[in-house]
Amino acid sequence: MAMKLGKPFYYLAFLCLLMATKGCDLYEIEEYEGEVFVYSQMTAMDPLPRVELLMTSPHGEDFAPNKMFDGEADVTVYLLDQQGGREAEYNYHNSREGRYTYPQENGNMARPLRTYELVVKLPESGKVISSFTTVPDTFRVVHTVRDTVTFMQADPLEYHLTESAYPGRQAHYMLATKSLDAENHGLTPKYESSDLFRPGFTHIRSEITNQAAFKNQSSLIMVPYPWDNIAHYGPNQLLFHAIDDNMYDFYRTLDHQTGSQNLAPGEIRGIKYNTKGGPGLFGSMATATANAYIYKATKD
Amino acid sequence: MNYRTVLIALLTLVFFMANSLAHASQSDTKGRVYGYITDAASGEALGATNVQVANMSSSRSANSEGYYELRLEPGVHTITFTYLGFEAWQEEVDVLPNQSQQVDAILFPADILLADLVVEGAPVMARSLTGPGTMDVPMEYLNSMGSALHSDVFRSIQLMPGVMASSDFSSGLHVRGGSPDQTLILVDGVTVYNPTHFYGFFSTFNPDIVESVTLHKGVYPAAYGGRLGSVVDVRNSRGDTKQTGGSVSLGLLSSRATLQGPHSTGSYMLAFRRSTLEPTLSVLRSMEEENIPDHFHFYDLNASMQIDAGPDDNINLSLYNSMDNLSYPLNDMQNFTLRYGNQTGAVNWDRNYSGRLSSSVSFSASRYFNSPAFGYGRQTAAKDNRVEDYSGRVGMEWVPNGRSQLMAGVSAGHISFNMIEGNNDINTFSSHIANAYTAGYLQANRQLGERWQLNAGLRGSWYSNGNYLRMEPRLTVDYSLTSRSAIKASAGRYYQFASLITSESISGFDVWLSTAENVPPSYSNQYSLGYKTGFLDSYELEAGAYYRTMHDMFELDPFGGDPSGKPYEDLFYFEEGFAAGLEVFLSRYTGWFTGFMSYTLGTTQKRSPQVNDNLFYPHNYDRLHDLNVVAKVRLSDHWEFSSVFSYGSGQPYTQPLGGVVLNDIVERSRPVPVIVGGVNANRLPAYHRLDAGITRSGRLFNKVASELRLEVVNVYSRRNVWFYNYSFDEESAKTAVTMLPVIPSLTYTLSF
Repeated sequence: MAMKLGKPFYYLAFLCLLMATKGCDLYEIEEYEGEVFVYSQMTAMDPLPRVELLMTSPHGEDFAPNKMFDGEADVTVYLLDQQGGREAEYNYHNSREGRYTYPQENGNMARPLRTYELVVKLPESGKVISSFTTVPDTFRVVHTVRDTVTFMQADPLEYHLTESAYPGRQAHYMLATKSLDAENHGLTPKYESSDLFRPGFTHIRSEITNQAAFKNQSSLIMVPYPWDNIAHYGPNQLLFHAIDDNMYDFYRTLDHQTGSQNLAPGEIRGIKYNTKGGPGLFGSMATATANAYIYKATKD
Repeated sequence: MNYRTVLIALLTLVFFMANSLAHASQSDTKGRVYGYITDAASGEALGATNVQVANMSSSRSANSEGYYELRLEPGVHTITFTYLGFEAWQEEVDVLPNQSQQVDAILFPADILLADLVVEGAPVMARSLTGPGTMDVPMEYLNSMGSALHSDVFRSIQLMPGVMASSDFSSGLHVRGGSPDQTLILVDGVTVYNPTHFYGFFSTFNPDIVESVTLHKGVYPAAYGGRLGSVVDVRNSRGDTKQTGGSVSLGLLSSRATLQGPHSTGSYMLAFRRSTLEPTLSVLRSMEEENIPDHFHFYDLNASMQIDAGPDDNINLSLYNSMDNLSYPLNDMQNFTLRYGNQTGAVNWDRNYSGRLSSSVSFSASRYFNSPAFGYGRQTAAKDNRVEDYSGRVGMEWVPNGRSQLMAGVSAGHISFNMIEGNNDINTFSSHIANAYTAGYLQANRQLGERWQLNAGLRGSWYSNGNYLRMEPRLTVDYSLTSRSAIKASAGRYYQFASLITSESISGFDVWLSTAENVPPSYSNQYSLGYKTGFLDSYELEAGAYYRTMHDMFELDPFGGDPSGKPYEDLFYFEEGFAAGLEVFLSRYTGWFTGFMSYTLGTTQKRSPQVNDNLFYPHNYDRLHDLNVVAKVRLSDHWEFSSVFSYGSGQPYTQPLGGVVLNDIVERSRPVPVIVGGVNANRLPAYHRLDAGITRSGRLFNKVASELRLEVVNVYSRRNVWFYNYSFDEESAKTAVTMLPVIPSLTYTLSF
């Protein structure tokens, strides 16, 4: 027996039609616009660093390095007092296209645990890009447990460091390794087939590690140096960087921008810049260094 | 929680209970008809069977033990019992005033492969309790199509309206805009935390032994809890009570064996499935192919035993174990290993007290673990994640008369979420979140007149960690328009105390994390409206609309980095969202042409202060249109053609707009921070795929049933885009990563 569909069906069909016609394109698609990217990183007790103004490139074009901003800019760094007022002003000069420096002869150092403000004004566009950084406290290597090892044939390099400090949180570290003689020493297995190392590239770095990840004894942290952070045999310089909030946010989002435990395949998230008015990084760090020598294991 | 809502819900429940008791004690001239409904082949009870009295507008459902009860006016009535996958059973009953009589129904499995059968006088009914929003997934029908993909339980569920798949490679269930963790997965009543094999490609349910799959897509009953969205209730066979039998199946991907039969006081079932990829992997290694694992296997084991402990007592024991194990060499000095699996065990005692009252007592344990490890010389980085859940439950079901049903239950348990990360045997992060929990529920179903049926429920849940007590009222109203059509409106509040951390690509890394102090449970309000009807004798149509909100969803921060030394709550960020949609399901399971069409029009969006400046954006699996058409045509006594067509509008993704090359002073390489557009503002191309197969059935040497099947997955080789891969080096480029290509297969099956 044939049977007619009831009124509720037609109401629902109408709702379907309404949603199908009104439900599309809920969200606006953004188009690429070229932007000025501000980049500068202070190191505690080093002279005030260079400020670079780079230009972004649209995806699909070649990503050329050293694509600098070629317009006019006023670049100023301020040292802030405890109340946030401007205690000192450092006016930067345009030294090369897109590069701004503060004269070294003035002898101003980045002071640990002090806050600086960067202000970049772009008169042509009227844009102002600004950011704040608080410099981490200095620290140092006080004891070397092992600084000469055969690669992956024994216990790893190990160093004992004093603790860095940062207001309101534990210290965050990045470990960087710089080959001191890359031309005469080969790459370790992980990097032999990597296209990371092209001529002139000698540094690698680890992801960010919290201070709590290291053993702590008598206010010293014990750092077994990870094998996969060593790219070259031979003499290497190890750099332990304690980083500020801006570097912490920038690098942790950069490292996982295109892949993380809970990002879907192909999912890309934005970088956390901590700048106002445009993208960039105005970061600071404190650095301790040590030297190491890595022998290549001989085959039996 | 709005306590006025709770108060109203409580008062409603009290009203129902009082009303039910009043009717239970009333005397009238009606007669009582009651009985049990069982599967003729296995002797097992068929819970939720639809019971329809001719010329009456409403219908009943049997309870979980297959018991039903009706109160009817004196006279001759025709009662029809229908259950998906079984032939309808009809009884003509002469009801006498104030008399009770037992009418048991024995339903025979419909031979759907040979289904040119039209059950005369037994059209498809509008089932009041399993109406829109709750579906019996036609597993037997889909298994009979023989597809390499769709005979999987989760792949089959993905064909239902309101359910979406995120890709060809994922069996994860996105039900009515919810993420996979918002669906409660139960096997014989026990929660399973990661029911996947092959890193998400298949579910762990062995299709040979799955007896029924019930999908509650939303506004599910108070007897269930702990998830924001939906429930998949998988019931395995408890074994054949009449004869011993079994099967063995060999395949390139996996092989299976089952054995079941009666024993002196009941029945048993044993099923084992294991991957058989080793020969294939060995050949690939000998061909010096790259990226071949050193070792990979998965297995699952199901066992159950049913014991008839007396005329009214039934005890069931069940065990389940699954494991995936991978060892993968990254290069000469580096190796990656991953093991993950689930184990569950349960003992259940069902007791019937004179038919009207039944009880169920159960104890269960469920464990999920994964252990990824990365080895590099003497240095290792490893994780160990575990969920261990032990619980006990008591449930009561009372049918005081043919118009009322009351259910109540309590459960208590202990669940722990353990996560350890370490380097070189040093634990760098350790989280142990242990919760004692209890839950209780009351649910009342009440027939009001001939057309109305109300179902009110209230569930209360308590978690010790954070001392969270949450009340969850639920209400459903059914109105029968005719004997074959009904509308249903539902609303409810739902809480979830755990969140799944998953990449949606490889399920072996999935981690469950719990609520705790400063990490409150997520909650959702759900509303749905549905219409269901049968027409033209053999067609059934469901249409519905849903809307749900989601709040306090806690997500692991993907950029959280090293968790060492961080407070637990700092690992998360919190989101809220909503989902809305319309669903249509048209089906026909009898006749020479069978199949179904499911369509969903939906959207799901969310927002968080940490993403997109707290503006709503489409969720990764937001899909406006989703269509599945499943058809099977019987060409002759020996030939049959079947096909599955799927269409989905493009899923959202975030497009990189540009980037900048830095001369980084930390690493002296050239990192490229990427400037991205609006979060999920762009759409992938639409997805569509056609799978088709043709089957020749016959008998080998006139003795053994045989079947030859030619099947093609993705017939026209549509290169559906899974995602775009962007490179950001000096030659920035965009590459489409596509899903399954055309895959032909030939299968020959002998059954004896």
